[in-house]
Amino acid sequence: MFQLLRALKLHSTLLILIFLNLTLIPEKLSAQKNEIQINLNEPTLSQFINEIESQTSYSFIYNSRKVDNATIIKANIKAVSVRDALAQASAHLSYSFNVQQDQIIILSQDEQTSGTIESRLIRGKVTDATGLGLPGATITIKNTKQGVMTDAEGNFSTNLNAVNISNTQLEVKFLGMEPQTLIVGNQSVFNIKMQEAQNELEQVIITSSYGTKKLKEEVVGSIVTITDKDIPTQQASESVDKMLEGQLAGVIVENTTGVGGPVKINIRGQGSLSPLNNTVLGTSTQPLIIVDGVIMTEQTGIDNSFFDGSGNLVETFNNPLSQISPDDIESINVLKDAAAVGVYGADGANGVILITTKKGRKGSTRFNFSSQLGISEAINQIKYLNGSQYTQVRNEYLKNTSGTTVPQNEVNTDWFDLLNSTGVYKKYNFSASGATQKFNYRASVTYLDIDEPQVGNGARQINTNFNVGYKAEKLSLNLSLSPSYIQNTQPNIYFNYAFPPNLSPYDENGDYALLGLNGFPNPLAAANQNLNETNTYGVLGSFNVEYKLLPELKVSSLFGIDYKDKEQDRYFSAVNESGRLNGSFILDGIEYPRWGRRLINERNSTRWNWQTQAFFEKRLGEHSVDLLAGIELSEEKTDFAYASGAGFVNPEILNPVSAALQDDDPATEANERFNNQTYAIDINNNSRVSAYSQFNYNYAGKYFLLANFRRDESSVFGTDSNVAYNGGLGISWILSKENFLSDSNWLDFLKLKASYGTTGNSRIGSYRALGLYTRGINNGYNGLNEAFPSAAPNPNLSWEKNNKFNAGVEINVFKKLQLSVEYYYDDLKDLITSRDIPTENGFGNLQLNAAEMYNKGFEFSATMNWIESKAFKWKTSFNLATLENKVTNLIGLGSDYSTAANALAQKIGYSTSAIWGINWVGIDPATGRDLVSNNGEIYDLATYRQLYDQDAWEVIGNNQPDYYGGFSNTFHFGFGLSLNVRGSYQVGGEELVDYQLISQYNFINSRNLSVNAIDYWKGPGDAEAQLPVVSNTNPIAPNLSRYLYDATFIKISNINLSYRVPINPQKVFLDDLNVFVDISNAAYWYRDKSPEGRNGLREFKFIYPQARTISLGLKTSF
Amino acid sequence: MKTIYIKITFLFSSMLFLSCSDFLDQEPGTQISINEQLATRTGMLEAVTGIYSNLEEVIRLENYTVYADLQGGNLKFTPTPSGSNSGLITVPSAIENIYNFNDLALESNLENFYDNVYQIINATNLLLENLNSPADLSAQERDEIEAQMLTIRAFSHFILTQVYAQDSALVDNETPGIVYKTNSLQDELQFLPRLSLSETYTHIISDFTAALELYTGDQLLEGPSYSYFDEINTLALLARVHQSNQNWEQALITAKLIISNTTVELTSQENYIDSWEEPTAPISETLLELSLARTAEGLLSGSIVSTFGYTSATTYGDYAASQDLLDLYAANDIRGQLFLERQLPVLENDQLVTKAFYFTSKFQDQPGTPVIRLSEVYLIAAEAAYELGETTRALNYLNTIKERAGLNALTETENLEDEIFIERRRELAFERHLFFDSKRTGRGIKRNDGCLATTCTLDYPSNYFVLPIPQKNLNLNENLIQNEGY
Repeated sequence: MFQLLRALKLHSTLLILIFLNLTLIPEKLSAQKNEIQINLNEPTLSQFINEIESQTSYSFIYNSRKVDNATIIKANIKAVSVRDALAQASAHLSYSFNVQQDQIIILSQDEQTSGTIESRLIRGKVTDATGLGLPGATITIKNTKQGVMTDAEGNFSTNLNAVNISNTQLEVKFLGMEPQTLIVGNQSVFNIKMQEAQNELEQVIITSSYGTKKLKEEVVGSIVTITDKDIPTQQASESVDKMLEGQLAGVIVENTTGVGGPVKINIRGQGSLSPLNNTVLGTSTQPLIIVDGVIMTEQTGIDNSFFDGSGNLVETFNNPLSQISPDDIESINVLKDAAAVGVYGADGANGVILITTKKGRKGSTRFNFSSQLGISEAINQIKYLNGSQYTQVRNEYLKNTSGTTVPQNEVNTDWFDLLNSTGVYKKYNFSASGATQKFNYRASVTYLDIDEPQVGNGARQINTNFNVGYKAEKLSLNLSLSPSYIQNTQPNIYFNYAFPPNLSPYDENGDYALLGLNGFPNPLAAANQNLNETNTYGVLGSFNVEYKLLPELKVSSLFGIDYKDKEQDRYFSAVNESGRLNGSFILDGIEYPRWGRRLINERNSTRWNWQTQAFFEKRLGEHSVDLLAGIELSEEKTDFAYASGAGFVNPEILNPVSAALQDDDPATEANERFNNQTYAIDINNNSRVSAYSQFNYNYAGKYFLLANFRRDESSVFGTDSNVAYNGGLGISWILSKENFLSDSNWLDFLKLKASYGTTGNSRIGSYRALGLYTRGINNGYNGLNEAFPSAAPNPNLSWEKNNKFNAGVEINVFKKLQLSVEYYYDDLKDLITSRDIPTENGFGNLQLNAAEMYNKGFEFSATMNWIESKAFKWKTSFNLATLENKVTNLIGLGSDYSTAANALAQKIGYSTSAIWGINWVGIDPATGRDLVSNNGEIYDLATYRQLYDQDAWEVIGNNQPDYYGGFSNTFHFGFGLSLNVRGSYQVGGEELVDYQLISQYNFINSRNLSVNAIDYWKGPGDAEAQLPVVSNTNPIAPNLSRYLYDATFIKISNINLSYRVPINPQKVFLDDLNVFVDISNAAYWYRDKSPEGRNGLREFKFIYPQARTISLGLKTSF
Repeated sequence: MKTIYIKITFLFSSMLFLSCSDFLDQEPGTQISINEQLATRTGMLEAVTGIYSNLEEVIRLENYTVYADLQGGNLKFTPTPSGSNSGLITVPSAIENIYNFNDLALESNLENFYDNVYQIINATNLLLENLNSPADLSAQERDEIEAQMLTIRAFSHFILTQVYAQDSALVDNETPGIVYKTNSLQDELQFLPRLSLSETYTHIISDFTAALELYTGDQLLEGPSYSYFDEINTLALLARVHQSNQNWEQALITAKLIISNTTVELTSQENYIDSWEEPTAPISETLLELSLARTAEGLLSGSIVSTFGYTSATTYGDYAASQDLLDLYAANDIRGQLFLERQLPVLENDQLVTKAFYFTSKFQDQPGTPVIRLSEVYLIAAEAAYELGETTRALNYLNTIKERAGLNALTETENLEDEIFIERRRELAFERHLFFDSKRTGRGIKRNDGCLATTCTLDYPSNYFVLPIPQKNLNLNENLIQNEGY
């Protein structure tokens, strides 16, 4: 490994050339620039300094007590070089100039002449606690400006001139570090190690909105921030959202799909009504995600049966955040209240997540490399009936239905075991970064290879990130690009289907057996013979230009683009039964079975946003104001394409869609040759024009006021209501800065804040307001083209509104504990719901802004530095959030219910996440049938079903937890070892699991059941039974409370043990070397315990089994 | 510095300019917004085609297409052809409630009919409101579309009236009609009440009258001319409306207009059977028969064969003629030949026995969906003349039909009213008339042969001569009132 690293070092120049093409930029370009144009008539010293500083990168250092910068230089200074200018000026001044690297030190005459001036050359290096050089640290003689700044490596050397050098105090400063004072003594070489500043709060700078930055204490809105050092990038996940589970107060990250699948992020509860039936096409409940100013596209379905995201043959959606490597993220800010998101207006209702990628930091090129290798296994698997149990239950079913039974065979196949094995997780990250005075650059490549525990499934990702910045005095430019390539391979789509254990996976020849199950092939064969590959190429890019018109006024323009090209290619081979479709076709006179199916889904989306804004900032005495105003245009265009072909002459090999051909029937006019091919295309476009503004005012750094306002106009809505105005107002007060509290020795910081404002939700899918015709080509009346009205217009359809109130307290005490408590109340109005309308209108339903609800709750987060010493540090973070949701109004509408399997209702006074169903009370020992209760009366389920419909459903649970949150503990040992444990938890809330695996007996001939099925009713008098008589006469009720579990859990999501190998940078070329062990998805605890030998929530919770990954890795920089 | 300001100003103003342009007009893909669809001549004609398709489908669908003949007693059920219930004669569950005169407002057997007819009405209104949108539509074409849309709107409301409104004949006060919809769903959701029956008729007749002013005589769309509304069939339907509204004077005038028109003649006795049995074309005297929609491969997507047809021993419709109907045809009545006699196995006392069933041969093979033909106009004229006291004239019209069927001309006028009623039943069987005729003329229902209903008779008047307005609409619209008895 070390040889490899050395080789990398040797080739570093080459690598930069490859990654950045930036080798031509000389490191000290600015320092060498000496040519200037100066023509000043009797300037003040200050004007003279400004002029030189503006034309060069030199900076002046002087002791303002001894040097008066208002002194007028009584001469006309005309010079073309710095040296010349300084010479001319010093001739007319009582000061002299001392040029040292890119600093010019102004010395007063008395300093030079007062006799006992000594001079000593001092040099050394300033490093952080880990020994990393700190570029730009200042070393000055205390109380003067005389001094030097460290170079890119942290080194410095200067001629110290002072009256009594040995007693001179030097002050060393670096932002974010505890300042140090030291006495020169008789040393001339200084190796100064700096410690991180204790009070981190002061240092945290938050990107609040549209690139504006604020100190954390000055932020009025509710924003949670997580920076790179707190993102557990070593957790074995492919996208950052999965790593943040439980780490942000009030944010639920729900991860129920496999690698690359979408993750549900709810900030302060769900921002819209749960759609009762079609869950794919509802209003977006996802936050707006903005990466370096680029608005990310969410992958959603559209109103077209080929592209609506439901069914087996549509595309699999991907998680957009897989496009960004977690290692490239510098900070994530989650904006929650109106003061924070108001400026995002019509898209801010679900909160906003701002992601900033890493930029190069001052210093020479630094390289970072990390490598991680792990193994994963599926955990908490559902236990199924084994061969003999299966035969027992099946025979019981056969006996009770047809009267016959089958003998037990010797086969006992554990399909789950065959389909799931040990997965491998590999990740490599390499980055190079650096910055000079004006340029900064960073390039990074991450290669991730996840071989999932599900046999045959995996993902490969290459995520790259390039950042190049230029910053001069007035102009700054920044380019961020994140190209990515993601390949998901998922041929094993049957891994979780309960195949009967009495079937053998192999036939007598050792080949994959045909199972004879309608619609389900031998899953092992399918995993090995079928193709299901999704390739996604994406680029996220933004280019930002900023120009400082006046010291107080900046204008900037940012263009961001999110481009994605995704193709999912599937082939169902006829070697196994998945490709053996019914029917036949005739080609060249020969009849073939309709075998083999190729499916190709394409999605190509481009979303761009262009914003141009002005930022004004002014300080007048104790008053400071800033004002942001801008215009934003954005457009999203998505092209969808679908192609499929079924029925090939040679269906066992991969065939193109175009090979699905058959003979034309000469008897008909139409050409039937391509009838086995299906093509569909569609588009989905929308656009928006917005104007936004934000105003901040603060007085004396104590009283803060924020106001924001935004106007959005969107193509998504009807012409009458396509404009929305949103805005927010926030205030905060730092009490701890008041005199009456400033003396407190226990209170470090106390802030009160409150905000109120409106936001909207325009992501309701395109065209819903327009009213649509659907066209049919050549198949209408008399064979003509025709068109039917297919969706009702509602020009009044408008944005969902979300009025947010937030109040909070932030308090730091004893220099150890940071606490924050917030209360929020989100009042949601005009929620879009699809409702029935009188059919005399020509349509049966209409999208209406007709529902109202609220989300309210508390958020509490705490950080405690228990122990803070050189030898041992222990820090705990903890957060807790509550959420209460209630539908308060359904304007002009009655209650509405979903299908039983969805178990949802829209009903005034109830939570939108309430689970509606039938209370199950047990099994009738006499008949073996389900007993349920309604209004205190006990009914046989069949009788209940005759008497009552869905109006009689009761609330049997709620998906929403009572409170939820997460925690993390960090332990640092002085010798370089650190341990990090992170987790999340939920208290309260229920989960309704799928009944099919538990009690759908009538599929038993072709499907296994959960092992719980063995507890069926055995006969009259059986009072122990958990499940009814095994028969086909039990009414199907998926929303029985029997399938409901208490969802309370604690999860240890990540344990990370890391050791810093002590190395001497002078001897080894490495600056830093860490080795680590990481366990992801380490452990789960559920309150609802699984019964001995049976499945419970632990097993039923995840349709896609979760993987636990244990990995080893190293991380180094040089 | 100045140039910077200029550049910035330019930047901002260019963005503002973009915002003023068509940047915010985004159209969907294969689905097209109403505005775009109706902005061109092609789109307009596609929408017209779509309306014809929908209308054909609404009329053809089993529950409505059998309603009048089943309720009146012209039909009985055929045995299940195969499977475990083979030979069993059951009432199809889809029409069970109406058949028992026990339809439920909550789940009416004709709920889809109600909804779908209003869908068609909405589609016609959309076109009527957008007539001036396409620039490439000629004035002629615009008039023709307007005429056809008004006709379809009126006709759609009329067939709803037949099903949902009692007849005014014997009910003197303001009988409720139906909701008459003359605009599409726009800004505001409308919660319209039912008009009175007379107002409903006023609207229907005024739409028809307006349409008749506008017909150009030029065919708008490709296909057989009998498959589109035109001046003649509109007049014929108007005569039917006047008859239904008991406006005998207008009924007679309108019917006479059509009979005197020479473009369509009654099918002669010699051709009568052949013309009916011709597999692809309708009977020659047809005034309007809606064509079938065809799939991309040119296949028919469905026809009334699935209701009345006999294809093979295992594939046949649920409905055959009842003996009540068959008994009406005298031995010399050629219309008695318009039946396919088929022996079908029937389960009787757990034994399969073979029994004869008579399928109509009016609609076998690939029939379109008939709406009106000339014979009906003669019968309307006969009835109107009788009601106006012109018995000779009435006998004349009636005997034209009787004699063509091979029957002797009627000379007595004693039971003329009944004779006309029975002649209608004979001539227009399977063409959706009997039950509406009974209601219109105040006759009760008596179903004998093959009646499996809980109640086989219905005296006039009765609440059950009409069906309930779907309850869901009443729930959503408090201005809507339910028919009495439901």
